[in-house]
Amino acid sequence: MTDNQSRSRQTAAPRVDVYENEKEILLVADLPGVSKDALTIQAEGDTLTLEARRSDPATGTALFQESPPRDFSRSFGISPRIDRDRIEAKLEDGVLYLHLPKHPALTPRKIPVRVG
Amino acid sequence: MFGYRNDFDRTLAIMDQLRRRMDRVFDDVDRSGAPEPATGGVPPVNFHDTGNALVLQADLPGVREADLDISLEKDVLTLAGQRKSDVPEGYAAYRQERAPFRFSRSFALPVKVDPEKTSAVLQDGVLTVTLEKAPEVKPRQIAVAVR
Repeated sequence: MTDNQSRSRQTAAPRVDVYENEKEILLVADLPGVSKDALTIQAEGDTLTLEARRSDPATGTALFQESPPRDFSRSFGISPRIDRDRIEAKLEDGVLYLHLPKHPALTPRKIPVRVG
Repeated sequence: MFGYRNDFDRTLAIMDQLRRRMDRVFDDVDRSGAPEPATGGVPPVNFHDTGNALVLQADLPGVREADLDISLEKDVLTLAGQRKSDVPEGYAAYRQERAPFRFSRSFALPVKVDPEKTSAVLQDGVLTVTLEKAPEVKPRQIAVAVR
């Protein structure tokens, strides 16, 4: 991407859902117009960053435009409890499903209590 | 200070703890750029005239082909569809900015199109409908005679 292109495009934070169960955090993000190759997911230190480049809209004379050309970017803080080596991403119909597993040692365990 | 006296109170206390813990597990630190505007369930659409065709593009992340209905009647194009709830089972929702939606939008086409030459493609959550213009309204190249 040249400087010129990056300047002319806006960047928007995609809408996300965040879910959690005992094993993982599941992040779901709307990324319409983003193909697998145009998506970068990075976990560095305590920050998780999504960056995606949208495919360009049709050329020609715009009769109206509600979805301007733009790219997506959003960052999240993640704790050391997330196992970075096992993060998995799936992109389907313009929706990203990002599975962030917790370290197995940190998933809740039942601790038996003896009566003394 | 009163303790939690019954199971119901205890459940609430656990949920409270879970929420506090999640806040630390996962937080936005930086929203680079403006957040996506709320559309109230109406998918945003771009409409272009490319000369030979009209091209409509709609952002429909998470909408499946089976849940989409496109029709052309005279000079009106109608898109209808829905995105069903995709909340996973067995998870606690911590943040929900995405929502299921149902929509129907109609567009009066500014020129006559050829109903036999239309196509619709749903890819990466974007629907592209291409409507080729009727021959009589297509732009024509006019040769300039040089004397």
